[in-house]
Amino acid sequence: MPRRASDLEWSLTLFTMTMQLACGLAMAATLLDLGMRRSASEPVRYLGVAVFPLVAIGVLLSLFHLGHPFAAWKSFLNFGRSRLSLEIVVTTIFALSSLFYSALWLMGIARFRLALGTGTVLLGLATVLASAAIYTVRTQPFWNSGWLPMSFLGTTLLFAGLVPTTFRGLLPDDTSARPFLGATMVGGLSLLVSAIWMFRRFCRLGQGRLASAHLQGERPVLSPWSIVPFGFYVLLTGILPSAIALALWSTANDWANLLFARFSLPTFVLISLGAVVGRALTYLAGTSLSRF
Amino acid sequence: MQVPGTQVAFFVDSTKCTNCKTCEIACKDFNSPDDSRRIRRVHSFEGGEFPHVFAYNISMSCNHCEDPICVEHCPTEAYTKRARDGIVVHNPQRCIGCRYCIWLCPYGAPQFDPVEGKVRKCNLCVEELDGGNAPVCVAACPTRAIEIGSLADIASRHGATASIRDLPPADLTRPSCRYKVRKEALHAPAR
Repeated sequence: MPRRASDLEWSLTLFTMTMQLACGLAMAATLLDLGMRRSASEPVRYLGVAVFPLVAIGVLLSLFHLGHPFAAWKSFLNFGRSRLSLEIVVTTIFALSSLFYSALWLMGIARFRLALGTGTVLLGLATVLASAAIYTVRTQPFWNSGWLPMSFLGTTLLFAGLVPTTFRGLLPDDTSARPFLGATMVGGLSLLVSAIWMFRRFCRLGQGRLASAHLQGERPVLSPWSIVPFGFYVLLTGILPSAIALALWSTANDWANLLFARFSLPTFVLISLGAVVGRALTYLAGTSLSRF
Repeated sequence: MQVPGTQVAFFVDSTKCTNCKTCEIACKDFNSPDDSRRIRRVHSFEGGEFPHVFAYNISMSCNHCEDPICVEHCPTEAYTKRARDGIVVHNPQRCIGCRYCIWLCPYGAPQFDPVEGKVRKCNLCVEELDGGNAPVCVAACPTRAIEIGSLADIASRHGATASIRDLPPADLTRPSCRYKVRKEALHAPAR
């Protein structure tokens, strides 16, 4: 077990996951809006409305990380030099954009919705990349690598594909599920590749004597062999179900529909749980390996 | 912008250090007596294989780096590098306790206190220094293992180095502090 529970950084884990989920939802809502030529169904409306509350919850969660949450406004002061300031500015713009986007869905206004949705998606992706940039700094040997942005973008894409295929009422017909299943599969593959990349880096950095000493308490959950259960978990929950669904969808039948209706929600829950645990371990390994 | 050649730095002679931790206690007594932070810490390292084993101690606080990543990335600009002597000073009034500096600093210099909700680090006792006195760790060390002076002077001393086997690579942030260690603890030729 970890020596310090705070090393798991629960508030930041949930913040990054929530922002990536919000960006994924905005992506799915905009694509569905585009596909339905703006005559979107009631469930898609809920999807569009949900974007801003998620962003707001994420921002509120991130404040729990601070020693002085009410002084959070000061974090804008070093904009231009600090990557953390940059992330906070981009997140604020994303939050404002998602507020207007969700408001348009709530009020049922189709005008400008597609344009604003596209802008919100781009800002969401910028937020995800700005979040990744915080960790990829030269003094952080574990995080400073391509696996981290890949993991963040993969999670976003996974959520973008997973939500419409899980809650199938969002889809106008069965054939429109294919691009979303494809997105889920690509997102899952990105997560798998980033997990393997991450563990390779972990194995290399964890060999140092200081690193070994710092990782004593974390060994039960973080060892070079942890890639086996983690890799299988990502494969079984994030890639295989969408790959099977994609293969069966072309010959869609009642049996396949029943199967997906039964298993899509548990799969969504398992993927979300796995992503949260994986992210928490990312924080734990990063803070342990860089500790002096 | 710092004036070239004015950087103030610590010199820690590890060959004199006995790991008595007087510097650590003096620093704590002066800076943070009521909380969990240890702004200066003495680290012990061992190495070698029997019968050629060795051990050494490094007393370390902030290295007042020439390329300080905390100054670069602190979102509230709580860190500044003084132009006249290159000391990296932390202003707790500006700190919001985001702990980003703790993630960034390769030497673990910034320390967070959950009760105060803020970070503190070694300011090289600037108030003492500006008043013409030595920092408390320098004054307290019974073996005179810690000294303070200009980096130009300190770096030219025999055996002074920042590249030590168990320390993070010196090229990451270009630390100003110099250490004198036994030859087995050297990572690279002295800089």
